Amino acid sequence: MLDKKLINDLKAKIEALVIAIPKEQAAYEFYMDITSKYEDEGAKEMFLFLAKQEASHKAMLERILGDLEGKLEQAMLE
Amino acid sequence: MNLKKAPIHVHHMGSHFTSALFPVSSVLLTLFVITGNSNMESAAFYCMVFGLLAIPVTYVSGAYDWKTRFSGRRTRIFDHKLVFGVIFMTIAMGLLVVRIVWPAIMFEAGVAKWLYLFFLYAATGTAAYLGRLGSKFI
Repeated sequence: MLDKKLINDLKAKIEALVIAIPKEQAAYEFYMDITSKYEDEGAKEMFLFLAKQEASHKAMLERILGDLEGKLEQAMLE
Repeated sequence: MNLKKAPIHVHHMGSHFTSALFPVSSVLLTLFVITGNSNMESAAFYCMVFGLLAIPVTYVSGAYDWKTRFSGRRTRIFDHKLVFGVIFMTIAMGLLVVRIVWPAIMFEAGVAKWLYLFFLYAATGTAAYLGRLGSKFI
């Protein structure tokens, strides 16, 4: 029997991640873009570090999204 | 300007036209009903024309952004934006066609003028809802 509460909860979480993931990508691109504008090595290193953080956030969110989509598919089949 | 981001900018710019011009058109037409000043009715019509011109540009750029940046994923927000975008376009086009074919609609007694006003309010409400959905991405 379909658990509507669970399905709605999963859909809401999936939607939040679908919106959040491109923001992580945009932040990554922002820091990478700034990196090319500075000559100071310390500043470049800092922005590269921040860019990598955003990239890892994105990867983590994509993993969680994949998980949630799997759970939603399972919930829809039950 | 980064051309890759152009559709996002086009969508944001276009949505400001639709979100502004339809409410202004509603206010102007309401002022016409209250005051009888025919300039208000004409102004309402021209606001609607420019608002309608922005709708397909806004819709297509938004749909493209959804397909690319959001991988075409189906969620409640995107489903509503796609469907209500079509509803908005349909109502706006209908209003424009009626007004062109029957320019005196607001000047004649009868149910037609109230329906015309109602659908303009409906278009305004739809634009506001679409804008509200869009604000969740900021």
